[in-house]
Amino acid sequence: MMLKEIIKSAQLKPEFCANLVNVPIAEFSEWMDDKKQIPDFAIPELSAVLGVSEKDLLSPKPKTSSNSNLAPAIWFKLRDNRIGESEREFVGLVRRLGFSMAQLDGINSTRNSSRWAATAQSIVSGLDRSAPPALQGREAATRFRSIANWDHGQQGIGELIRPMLRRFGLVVMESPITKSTLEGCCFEIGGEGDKRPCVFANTYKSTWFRRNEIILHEVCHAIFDLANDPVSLDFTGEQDNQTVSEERARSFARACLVPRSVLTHFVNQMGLKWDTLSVEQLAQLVAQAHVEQRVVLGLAHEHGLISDEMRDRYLAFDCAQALRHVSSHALTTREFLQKEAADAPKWIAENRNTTLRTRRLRLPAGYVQQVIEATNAGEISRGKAAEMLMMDRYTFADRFGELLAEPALV
Amino acid sequence: MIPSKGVIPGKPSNPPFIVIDTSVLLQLVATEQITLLRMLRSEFGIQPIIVSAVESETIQILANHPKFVGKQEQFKKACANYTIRLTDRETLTGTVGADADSLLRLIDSDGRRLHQRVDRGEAYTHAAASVLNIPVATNDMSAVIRLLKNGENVPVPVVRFWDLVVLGRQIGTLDDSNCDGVRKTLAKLQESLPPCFRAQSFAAGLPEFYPRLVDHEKPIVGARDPKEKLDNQRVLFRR
Repeated sequence: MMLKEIIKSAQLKPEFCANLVNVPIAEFSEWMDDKKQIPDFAIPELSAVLGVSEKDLLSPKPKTSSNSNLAPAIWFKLRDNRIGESEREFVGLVRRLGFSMAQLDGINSTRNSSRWAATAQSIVSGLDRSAPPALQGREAATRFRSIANWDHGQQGIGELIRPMLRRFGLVVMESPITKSTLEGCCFEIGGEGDKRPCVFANTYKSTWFRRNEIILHEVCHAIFDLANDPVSLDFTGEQDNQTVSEERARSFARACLVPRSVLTHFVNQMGLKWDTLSVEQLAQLVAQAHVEQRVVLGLAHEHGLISDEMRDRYLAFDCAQALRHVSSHALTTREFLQKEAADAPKWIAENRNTTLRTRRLRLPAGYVQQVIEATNAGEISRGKAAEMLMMDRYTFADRFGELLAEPALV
Repeated sequence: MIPSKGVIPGKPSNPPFIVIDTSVLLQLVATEQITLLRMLRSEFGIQPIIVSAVESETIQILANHPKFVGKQEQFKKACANYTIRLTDRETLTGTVGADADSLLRLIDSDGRRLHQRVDRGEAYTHAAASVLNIPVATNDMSAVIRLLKNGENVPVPVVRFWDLVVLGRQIGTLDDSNCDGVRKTLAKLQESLPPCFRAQSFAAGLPEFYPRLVDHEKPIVGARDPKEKLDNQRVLFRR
């Protein structure tokens, strides 16, 4: 079987893969060494995580082939030298989660993959792909705001982005990958015939305001680039990357978040004068726009609302403290969850982390909620719910037992 | 039902296998009662089997969950001495002959289908029970209810951990004190107990427990009438 070659060429550790499919490493090694056939129960999961068809996974080892030839497309790209073991393993974790999400969709008879495909198609349809990338991004943003019904409101959309994207069938993940320079990425998850994009924003040393932009940047990659490129990667400090796809994504994210009309509305509503902004007023503007200070100022400059000198002067303002007073999103994740989720169930704030060896993933609250609802509706067993949340049955019972109506054991 | 080897026509027979799921297996290991599986094999000729998904899950939980620390060896030993056998060609061939491969393929395809709604251990365990038409030992009623709701074939009786304990008590492998020790151990581990054994001793709770497996020779212990919807009794015959 090709398992050993695929794992090796994907630069994944067998121990991690064994944990990912929840089998002992000794057993996984036997599969890799062709001492035992991969049992049926592990095949669909391995196929979805590794991005190879079940047929390829079980096919005999080729006699002559270099490792790189066997790396599935997504993993081939993740061999980038800026990508380390932690990022690769994180992608593996999310793809494992994607496998369960696709199963849950099947149970709920929803086809999130089709929903997203239709949304993306309606955005790119008729768009002039030979136009300057910034214009493509802006036009796509206008269409996206229209589909999302954001074109009528004159307010920040930061709080609306995530639920709206999930309604469109996209998987949105925000989780820390410590010490990683990866800011965001976009890749496909799901099993054969039911793939959909996952957009990820790294929460390590990042703010909610920053991630709003990163998420929409990745959404643009999902719309335009994913069909030809299995994964798009964005690293810290690459804001000046001049490729068409990056320029388009940058423009899309900003135009989506704060179109000129919205920026003007904020300024008028708050009675601000661009030439005499105070630190507090700028913080207020950032809080309203749901984007970083430099983005607000960049957009104001781009729209001709402020001069070069004003932009540079306001960029030097330290708004951090003032922002904490006017926006709960400027709090740390822990502070935010303590404040905002005080009345929400405990699991929303504390119990959504799943751990695999040293890797931790914060599961999307909506997904956890759906799994619990499916369990209580008798659609899935408790064991299945634990499996879908990537935890063992005991951890699941400890964390969610009180929320479940049906007694599991007699 | 697949026939046992050497069955005399007309003579009542026991199922050749019982397929055990993780929930029962872990309680057997935690209470050091693997001997109950040996009892099934030696007294009744019923071979306990597990599917590979349950083997993997059990090894993982025994290795990683604090409440089972130090219990792995028992499980390994039970597998090594064939007290528990894997549902594979070697195990099935002795009973079903050349049909083993096709039955295993059926178990795989049924298991994969059931895996949409129950976890993989449950899925392949119930698939084996259904394809081989043998009893399943599971405490996880959540999965059983889910499968019954879907119209799946779940052979009866659905045997619980406590059915094995009470069968052991009926034929004298265990006494009241041993059984109460089992009860206390599970309570200490915060494992779920049937209501009748939760707040009272085993001996006090036994009259309220309807055993689903009974020996045909010894006097029946426990409740005489079914207490729950899935309470079906299977009489077992000594070899």
